[in-house]
Amino acid sequence: VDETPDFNTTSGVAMSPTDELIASIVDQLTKLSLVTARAATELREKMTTGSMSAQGWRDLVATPATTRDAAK
Amino acid sequence: MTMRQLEIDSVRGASVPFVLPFAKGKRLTIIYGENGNGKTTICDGLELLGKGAITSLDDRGLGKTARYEQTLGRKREQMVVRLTTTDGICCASVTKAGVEIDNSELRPTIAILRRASMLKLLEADPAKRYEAIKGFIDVGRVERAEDALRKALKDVEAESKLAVSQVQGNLDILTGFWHTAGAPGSGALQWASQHANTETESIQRQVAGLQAIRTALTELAPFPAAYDLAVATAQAAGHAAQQAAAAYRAALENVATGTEEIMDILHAAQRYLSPIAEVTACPLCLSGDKTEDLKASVDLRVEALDGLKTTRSVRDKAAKEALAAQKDLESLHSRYDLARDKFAHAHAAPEWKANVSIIRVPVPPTIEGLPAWLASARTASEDWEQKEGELTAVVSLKAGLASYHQNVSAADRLAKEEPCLRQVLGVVESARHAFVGEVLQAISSDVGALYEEVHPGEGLSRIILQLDEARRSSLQIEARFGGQDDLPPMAYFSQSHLDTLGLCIFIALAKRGDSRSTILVLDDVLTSVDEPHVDRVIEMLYRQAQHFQHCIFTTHYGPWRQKYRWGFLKTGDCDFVELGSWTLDGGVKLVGAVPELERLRKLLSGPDPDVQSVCSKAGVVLEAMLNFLTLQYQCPVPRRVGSGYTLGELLPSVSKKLKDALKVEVLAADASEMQVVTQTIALEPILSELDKIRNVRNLSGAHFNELSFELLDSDAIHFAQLVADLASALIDDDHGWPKSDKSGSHWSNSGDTRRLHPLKKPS
Repeated sequence: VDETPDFNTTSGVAMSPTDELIASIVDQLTKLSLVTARAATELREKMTTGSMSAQGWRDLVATPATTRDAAK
Repeated sequence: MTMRQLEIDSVRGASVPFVLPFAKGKRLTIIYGENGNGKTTICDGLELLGKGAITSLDDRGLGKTARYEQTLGRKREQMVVRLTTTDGICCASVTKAGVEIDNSELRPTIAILRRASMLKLLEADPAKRYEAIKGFIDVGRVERAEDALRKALKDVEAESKLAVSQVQGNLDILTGFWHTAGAPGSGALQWASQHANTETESIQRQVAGLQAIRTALTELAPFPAAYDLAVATAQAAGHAAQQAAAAYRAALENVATGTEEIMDILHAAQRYLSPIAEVTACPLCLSGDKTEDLKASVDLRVEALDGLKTTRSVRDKAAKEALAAQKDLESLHSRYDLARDKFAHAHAAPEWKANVSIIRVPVPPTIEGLPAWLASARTASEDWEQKEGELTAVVSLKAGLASYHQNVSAADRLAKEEPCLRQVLGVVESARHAFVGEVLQAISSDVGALYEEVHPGEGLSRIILQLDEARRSSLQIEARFGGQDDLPPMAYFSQSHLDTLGLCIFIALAKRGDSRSTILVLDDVLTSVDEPHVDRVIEMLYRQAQHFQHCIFTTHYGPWRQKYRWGFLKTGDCDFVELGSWTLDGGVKLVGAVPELERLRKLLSGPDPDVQSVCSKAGVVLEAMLNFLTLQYQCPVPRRVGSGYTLGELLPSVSKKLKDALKVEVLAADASEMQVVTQTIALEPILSELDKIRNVRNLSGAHFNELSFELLDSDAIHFAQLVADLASALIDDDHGWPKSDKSGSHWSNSGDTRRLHPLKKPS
C-alpha cells in the first residue's frame, strides 16, 4: 500500500519534532527582537547541531541587534 | 513496502523451516493457534529480525536466555529469519559474533507487546516509564542549548556582581588618593579626572629613569663596607701565609736534607712491611742486618716526619687563602667599576631629571672615595624617591580611574545583558514545556480515545501522562476513577482494565513513532481481557492496524476464529491464518482458515459433492443467516430454555411482509474497476423456496432417515445452492455482514458492498 509521507516542510524534507521546536524557538526570539534575523540563522544552526554554548548565547543575544548586524 | 513472506528456521519452535505468506493488500495478519502451536515462535522470529534479540524468555528464571533461542538440538548458527517484502529480502542469521543482518536497510522496525509485558509500563517506576516515552519527547539538543543559556545567565550574574564590586573597589582607591591629596574639590572622581589628564607616557618614562638611577645608587651603597672587609681579609690572609711559610721553613731546618724525598720512601716501606710478620731482609739493600727492629724503626721515622708534612700543608693552605683574598679584592674593584658605569649611564639619561636634584660630582674612581660621595648624594636620593612616589601615584590614579570607567561600562553592559538572557531563557523554557506537554497531551488523548473504544461510557478514558516537573526524567500516569481525577490507575483499576490500559498505551506510543515503517506485533494479548471487552478490543485493534506498516496479532481466543469463519469480522482487512498442532518433527504448521461460506462453496463445486456434507453445511449456514435476519428485524420465534432454533422455527418467523420487502443491493466494481455496478437481489424468492424444501436439510443433512431414500441428490444440491445464493447476496467475503444502520436507510457492511433493505420491519 503506497502511503503519502506526512511532510512538514515546504522543501519536502521532513523535520523532526525537535527541529520543529528549535524553529519555533528561533521564530519567537526573532519576533521579540531578542535576536536578529541574521543571528537567528546562526542560532538555529547551532541549536540543531547541539553546539550552542554559553558564550554563543551571549554573543547572539547580548549585542544590540543593530550593532551586531552592522558588524557582519 | 508490502510484506510478502516470513520464513523462520531453527528459531524456538521452528524445527522445520516455517513459511508464513502474507495476503496481498492486507496489512493485518491474525494468527490463531492453540497454546503450544508456535504463535510466539513467529513473534520471536520477527523480534530477532527487528531487534536482534528475543525477549519472550525473559523473567523466567533462565539466566542468560540466548542458549534457548535456537530450536532444541540445533546450533545457534542455524537460526535464520527471512522477511520478503516488495522492496527485497531482509535476512537475520546468527554467527558467533552475534546477529547479522543482510540488507539492513530493509530491516523492519518491530514494536512487540507480549501478554507478560502488558503491565510493564504501568508497573514500572516513573523513571523507567520515562525511558519508554523519551524517544518521543527527546529534546536533548534544545535542553543542551537551554543548559548553555542557563550557564550564560549564571556567568553574566557572576560577572555583573564582580563588576559592581570592582567599581566599588576602584572608587575606594580613588577616594584614598583624593584624601591623601587633601580631599580637594567637590569629590574624588572629579579630582581624579582632572589629575588623570596628565600625559602618562612621559610620567612613566621619568619614573623608569628615576627607578634606574635609584637602583644604580642603591647598588653602589654596599661597596665601602665590602671594600673594607675585602682589604682586611686580604691583609689577614697574607699575614697568615707568611707565618705558615716561616713555620715550615723552621721545621725543615730541623730535619736532614732530602727529608721530603725520604718521606715518600719511608711511607712506601711502611706499607710494604706492614703485612710481613717477620722481616728477614731490608727491602732496599736486601741486607739481613738489624732486621729485627726494622719495622719499628720505620714507624718511628714516619711519625717524626709527619709533623713536617702537616706544617707543609698549613703553609700551602695559607698561601692559597691569601691568593683568594687578593682575587676577591680585585673582583670587588671590577664590580665597582661596573656599578660606576651603570650609575653614569643612568645619570646620563635625560628622562628623570625634570624637577629633581641632580648630583653633579661623578662617582669616584676608587672605592676609598665612595663613602664621602654617597654621603653627599643622600639628599638628592631622597628627593628622587619622593618624586618617584609622586609620579607613581599619578600613574596609579590614572589606572584606577581607567579601571573604574571600564568596570562601570562592564556593569552597565551586563545589567542590560542579564534581563535579555533571562527573557530568552523564558522563551526557550516555555517552548520546551509546551512542546513536551503537547506531545504528552497527544499521547494521553490517544490513549484515552483508544481506552474509550474498549470501555465506552465507563468514564475511565481521562488518562493523563505527565512529566514530574521536579524530576524531568519521570513520567506519571494518572486516570479518573469514581469521578475523581489524578488517581494512579494501578491503585483503582481492575486487572483486566489495567491490561487494556497497558495495551492502549503501547499502541498509542507505537503510533507516535514512525508507525508507517513499524510492524506491530501483539502476542496473545487478548488472553487477560475479560469477555465483554474482547469484541471491542478486537474492533479497536482492527482500526489501529491501519496506522502501521503491518500488524500481526496472535491469539488463542477461540471465538475470534469462529467470528472469522462466519464472516463477522472485517475479513477484507485482515488475513486470518490458523496454526495446526506443533510437533518437534513437524514444527510450526499452517493449516489455513477457511470461512464457512467458502467451505460450502467448495463442497458444492466438487465434481461429485457429498450430499450429506453439503446439506449439513448449508443448513448451518442458513441457520446463521436466519439468526442474523431475525435478530436484525426482531422477528418472533418461540421462547425456549437453552439456545438454538430449528429451520422450521426460523424460516416462518420471517413474515410475508418482511420477506417481500427484503432485498439486497450488491455493489461491486465493474470489469474496468473504474465504476461501481449495483445489482439488486430480492430475497423473497430464495427464502420462500427454502421454506418449501427446508425438510431436505433434516432428511439428507442432519439424520439417518429412510425418507431420504426417496429424495434425489439434486434436491439436496438445490437446497445447498439456494443457501449459497442467499449467502452470496447477503454476505461479502471481505467485508462481512450488513450490520450497520449508520446510513439511516438500510443495513450495510463494513465496505458498503451490501445494502440490506429495509432498515425496519414493515408493520
